[in-house]
Amino acid sequence: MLKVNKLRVLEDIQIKLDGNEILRLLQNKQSDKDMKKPSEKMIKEIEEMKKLAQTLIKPRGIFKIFDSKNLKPKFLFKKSDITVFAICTISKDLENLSKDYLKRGQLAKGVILDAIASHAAEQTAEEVNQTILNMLSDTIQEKEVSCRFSPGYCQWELDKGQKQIFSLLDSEKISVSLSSSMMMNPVKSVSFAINIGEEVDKELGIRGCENCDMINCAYRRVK
Amino acid sequence: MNFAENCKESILNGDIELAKKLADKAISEKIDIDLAIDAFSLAIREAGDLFEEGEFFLPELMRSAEAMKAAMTIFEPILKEGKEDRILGKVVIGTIEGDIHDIGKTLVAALLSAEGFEVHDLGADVPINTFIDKAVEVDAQIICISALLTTTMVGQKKLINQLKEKKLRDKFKILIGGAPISKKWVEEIGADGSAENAISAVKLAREVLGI
Repeated sequence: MLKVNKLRVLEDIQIKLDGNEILRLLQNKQSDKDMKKPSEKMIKEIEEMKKLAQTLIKPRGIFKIFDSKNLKPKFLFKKSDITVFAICTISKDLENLSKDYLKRGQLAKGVILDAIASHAAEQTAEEVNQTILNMLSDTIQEKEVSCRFSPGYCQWELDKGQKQIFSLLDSEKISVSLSSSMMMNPVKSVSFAINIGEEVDKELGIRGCENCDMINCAYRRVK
Repeated sequence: MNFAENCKESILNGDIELAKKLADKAISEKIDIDLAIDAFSLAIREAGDLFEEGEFFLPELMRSAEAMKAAMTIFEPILKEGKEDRILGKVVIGTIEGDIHDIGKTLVAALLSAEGFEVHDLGADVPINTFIDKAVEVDAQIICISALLTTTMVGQKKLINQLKEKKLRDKFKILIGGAPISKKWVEEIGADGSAENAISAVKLAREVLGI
């Protein structure tokens, strides 16, 4: 079992970028139609931007394990034995390049890079999540593990959840800061929790889009 | 293909160089500028419709906006000189203070500009008073306020309250946008409307000005 309350930094994170997921982020979410087949020109441009983005994405993460009984709100952590809090980021470079393109009026390139950055941040969170579970493999045997869930979701209030995670983890280690409005900087960062215990609500983090009223959310997967 | 059809094609294909060439041609060959601008405008609206219908990806729409902007930049000196002032309205736009999300607001600004609005983009993390001062300074008809977080959307309400205190509320149409915005929030704070994407925002801007 890894020690509770010890901050761990994850540096060597490898992520894969999926062209289809980038395309999904670039389509109109409100359209009833299935995603159309992209043109050759579009595929080529996304591939070119992906190559450029890959030189600028620096995935990093931190995490710490806590005794769940010490955490609030109780309804989120009561069934769990231990809870992992984590923060991860792809750093600021890609975000900055996307903004530069937009500022210079090169809107198409700007939006493609922004979609790649959003996708990369999610992939980083997935990879950090998996790495943590691998490191905890001895501990989680015969226990249940929730999907990762973030402040702002699952009735976990954004401001309270963000304050809690950032007060318990030294986010300077990966150069992520939290503004007074609870916004992470770099924007392409993800904070989350994982519950581990005998009878945790395994679907906590994925009970999302169908029942969620954030209809304009960038990650919404239902029409 | 006639001249107007070529103009339309250049926008729908996002062909910036062709759009510029056609704008130059309109000026050098003394083709009716209105004809060219109308063709470009119809095309950018069609590009918006194609995006809404799922036929265009966002970069394709953006490329159309880039082509439109390139053409309009060539017409700008002539439009400023003459009486052919085709500005649909003046818009001040920005993301509210405390919020550094930029992209949604930038896309709305780009499409409003392509449509023919004069857009003053204040950027992100913009203080309430900066919105109001700029709107008064440029004599804007519309203020667009973006907020992407539940923690920053309260700034939209504060801005409207500030306008009321300064007895300026009736001077501007207030449009709000951002992921957490609901119809209930629009009603609660007394905004004039909200749009779920950049295309709807342009339609809404026309609607509130009765264009």
